[in-house]
Amino acid sequence: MTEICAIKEVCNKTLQIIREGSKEKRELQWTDDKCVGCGICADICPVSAIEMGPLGAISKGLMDAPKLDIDNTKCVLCGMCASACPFNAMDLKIDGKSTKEIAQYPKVLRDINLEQSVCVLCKQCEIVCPQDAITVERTTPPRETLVLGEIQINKNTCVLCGICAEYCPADAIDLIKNDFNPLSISPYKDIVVDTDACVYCKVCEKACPHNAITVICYKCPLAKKIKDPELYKEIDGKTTIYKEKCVTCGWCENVCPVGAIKVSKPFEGELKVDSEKCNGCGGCIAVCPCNALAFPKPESAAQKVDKIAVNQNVCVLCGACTKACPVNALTVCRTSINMTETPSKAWQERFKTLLCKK
Amino acid sequence: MYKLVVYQEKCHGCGNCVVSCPVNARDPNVYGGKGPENEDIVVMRVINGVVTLINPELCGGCGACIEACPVNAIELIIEK
Repeated sequence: MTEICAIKEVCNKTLQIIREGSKEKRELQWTDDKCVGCGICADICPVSAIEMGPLGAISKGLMDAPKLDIDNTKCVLCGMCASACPFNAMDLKIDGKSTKEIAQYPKVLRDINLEQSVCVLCKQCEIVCPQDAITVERTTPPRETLVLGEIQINKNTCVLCGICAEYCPADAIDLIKNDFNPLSISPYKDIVVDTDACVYCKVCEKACPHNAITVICYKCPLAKKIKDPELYKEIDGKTTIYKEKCVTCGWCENVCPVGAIKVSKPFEGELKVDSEKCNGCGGCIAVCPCNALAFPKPESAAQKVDKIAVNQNVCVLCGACTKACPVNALTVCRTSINMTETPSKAWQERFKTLLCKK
Repeated sequence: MYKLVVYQEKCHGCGNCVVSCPVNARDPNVYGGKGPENEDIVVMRVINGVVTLINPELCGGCGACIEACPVNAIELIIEK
């Protein structure tokens, strides 16, 4: 009997296990950039061929190392890891065809969708996204369409006292300094108004002790409240979600003020935190792809707070934190997996091991 | 796949790693800077003025000791 040996190739943050037999060629490829360190692959591997690296130290940037290693002498290239990986970091190709394209192989499902017509382009999702997977571009009409008016300073009555400049809320008034000397004794030589900054609010006109300023505002001469926000329909823009970067954590969905983003997560359940066990290494916070964990800060002196806390709404239950924690303070308890069906009983049973034990 | 290593020739014996290690901190004795007395649960301890690994296999790879060490005398290495 000839031994079928799988070859391991490590190159440029990817790891490949290749086995070429007489019937078919199988290639398992892992990509470090897409991997979040959740360790679902290691948990589901039926032959324990995958070992996780020092995730805390790697995520903190203390060392440059792969997040996991695959033992080619143990790996049987079954592809279960590729099917279970929610982040497309693992891929099995059989004769060049990815198992993601083969119906019998199950896939963990998650998605994000944006309703552009509902989006108000507030940019809050862009700010909070922990993976920089969202960009919001917006263009607004020029400022002149909102403020319009005129301002005049009578240079004959103005004494260049600068009181108007002190009051101006838009910093639109500048006094031009004079290089004074015995032949030109004034400290200032002129006063100018930056009409790009001026909002014709009339504060300077009221403040001027010498009645030298005249301001006319064309937009609100009768000082009435503006009835409807007319600008809104003129705001133009686009929100772009990069699905390949998105980890479906739900930060964007939770901050969106108008419900324009819908996220479907890969798992349902709960991340259980045993705050008493936590010794504050911060490995979980560093590794979490969702920015879902934090050290709570006391609001007042001597207030006792939990050592570590999670926001369940923005957690995907991937379990990366549980793999990084050296003292088992975190446990992921998944109650269901959002995935396609597989006809294989053995695979169904194996996927159930990712669920929490009742 | 990874291993905790110490370079005793670099170590100043400050004990930062001993107190920052979350595995050591499971034992309340660590708060006093002494480190756990129980031989079975301690990762590293300062002996005769230098850091000494007792149970490096208990290391969970969090990197707290690496962050705490002022002289780079402790690190994690990848074993092939």
